[in-house]
Amino acid sequence: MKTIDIDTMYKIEPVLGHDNFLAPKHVFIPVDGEVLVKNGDYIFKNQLVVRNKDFFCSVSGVVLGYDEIETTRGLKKVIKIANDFKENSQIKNFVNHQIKLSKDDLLKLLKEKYQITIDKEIKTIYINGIDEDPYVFNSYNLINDHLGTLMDFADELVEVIGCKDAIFLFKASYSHLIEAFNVTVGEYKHLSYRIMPNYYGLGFKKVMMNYLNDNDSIVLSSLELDNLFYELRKERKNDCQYITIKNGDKIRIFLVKVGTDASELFDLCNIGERDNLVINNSLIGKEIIKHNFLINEDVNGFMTDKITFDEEIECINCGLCSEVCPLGLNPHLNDENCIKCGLCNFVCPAKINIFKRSKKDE
Amino acid sequence: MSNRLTTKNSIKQIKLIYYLVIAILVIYSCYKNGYLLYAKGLTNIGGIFKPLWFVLGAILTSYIVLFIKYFLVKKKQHFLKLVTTDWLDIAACLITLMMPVNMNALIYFSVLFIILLGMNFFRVKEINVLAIARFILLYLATKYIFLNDYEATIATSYKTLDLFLGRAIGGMGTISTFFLIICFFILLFIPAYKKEIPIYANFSYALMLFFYCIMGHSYISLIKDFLNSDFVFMSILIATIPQYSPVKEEDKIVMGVCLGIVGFISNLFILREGSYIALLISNMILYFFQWMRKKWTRRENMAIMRQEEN
Repeated sequence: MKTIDIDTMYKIEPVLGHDNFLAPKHVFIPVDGEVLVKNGDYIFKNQLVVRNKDFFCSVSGVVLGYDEIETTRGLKKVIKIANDFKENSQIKNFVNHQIKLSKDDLLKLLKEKYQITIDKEIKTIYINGIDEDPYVFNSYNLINDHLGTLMDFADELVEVIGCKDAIFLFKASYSHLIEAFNVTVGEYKHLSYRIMPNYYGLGFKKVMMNYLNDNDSIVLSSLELDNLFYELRKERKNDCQYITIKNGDKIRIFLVKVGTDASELFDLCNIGERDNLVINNSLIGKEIIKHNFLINEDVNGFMTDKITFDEEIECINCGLCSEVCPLGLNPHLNDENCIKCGLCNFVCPAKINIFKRSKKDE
Repeated sequence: MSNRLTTKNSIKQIKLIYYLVIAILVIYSCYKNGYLLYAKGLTNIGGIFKPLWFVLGAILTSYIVLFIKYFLVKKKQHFLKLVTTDWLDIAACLITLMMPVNMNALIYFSVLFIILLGMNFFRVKEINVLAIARFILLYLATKYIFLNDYEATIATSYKTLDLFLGRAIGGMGTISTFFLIICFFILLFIPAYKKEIPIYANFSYALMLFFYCIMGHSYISLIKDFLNSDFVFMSILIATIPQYSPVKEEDKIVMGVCLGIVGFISNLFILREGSYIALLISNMILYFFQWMRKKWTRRENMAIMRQEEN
């Protein structure tokens, strides 16, 4: 397998520091199950709104009714909630206790909610601090902001699961994070870190597992660890998430409420309606049609690059796409195991957008 | 058009490197087939550049074919874009480099035109069309091929070093193993270059040669045969041409090893033609290997499914 270092190729430096955008005018919740509210109802923060998918409201406010908004899965019917900016919650004091679950229950939770296959006794938990896209720095900022909490939680996880240790995985360019980690790591018995090479793709769980080649371990992304922390220690869902927005050369990271309309952020970043926006992966180049876009856990960033506008030409059968595929697949075969990392798209000398093509084939 | 991050390498760049390699071979061919004759007073100044005229003629022929394609298919693409990104001109140059310099140009270009036209409209990935093109051209032009005066004088007296440097009889670009090795290192700059094929092919050829020598055969004559057989040219440039070569790592290795073994055996019987026959046989072996693998994987998947059902 050929490895590609996009960070060095494009001189990408990690961006540290985020802006808070925690007071959106409206919050949208997809209607993917049994709706528990009706028009005009007052909703508290962290109140369950849609049952089947466990959609909670990230703000307090009034239900305005149904609307439609663009999501990663197309145009979706959503419940529109007007924020009253009071953050009223029925849960008075957020609990922050130790993990109550037993080992078996915890493993069951990991298996069901985080699709982690556990066949054997776990020896090591790897916590992947690398983001999927080269221009997205959500994990980097998340770990930087909550390093102490996450380390504390990871150490506790190790004890509950009964494994040997937890290893945080960082890129070499995350020097700030490594320094901060080094300062406190002595306080924890089971924690350590490992510096990973700058290869693109290591942000994806499957690729990282292949790279580590450690069958007795599991890989959790830092975002998953954070969600697990909220679920186990605070007994509620995480109502905020990080979003990276790249407008030309400017990269900004925002901490936003889940369910925010992305167009509110685009206004802050001077992104106009005419700008072509790419979602999540700058290598795949999936453009969003409307700027009113729902921010949820499936979204990690938006980019307005105009790096390449090359015309597609006929495939020359060079095989570079297969050579770079971190899972060793043939990208032209539309394999179901594809993780859509976009490396095949990136290296293609004929500038073919393989994902667009396979969509057409479907 | 798409708005996304891509590498800077493009087909134009790949073609430029191929053109550099072709230029090196043409320059050497001009020396061997032109300058050496000119120094002995056997040709005029125009005659020095005969290989260059042939290559330029081949490129022009490919452009004519591309223009016909552009005219008939009426692609949205600009003609200039088609010329800079299509692979036909490189294929035409490589076919020309396989041919001897002393042949009837009119017959050569007429046949080349028909072959290129066929290559453009009937695309087959499984068989290396370039090798077939060489057979057709050589068969049709046999009556019109002759040795030049320089080749005729040394036809029976060249040493192993002459063969390595490329002073013997042969195609325009196929004779100098030394320059072909330089070309191989230049081609390595292309990220998409399928280097496994020439590496495995030449390595397995060398192994076959070694075992054959152990059995009591003269190694000098075998090495001479190897250098005189177009095998290096074929393995470096023809077998690796993207359109007609395998993509998967293991396929490339299978192809390389097959080329080496079959190439050695066929060169024992038919010198020079043997390399191209080996290429076609290797294509077929690879096709069979891929078919077997597909069948085996399907059977394995079925077994897993059955196991899961149980």
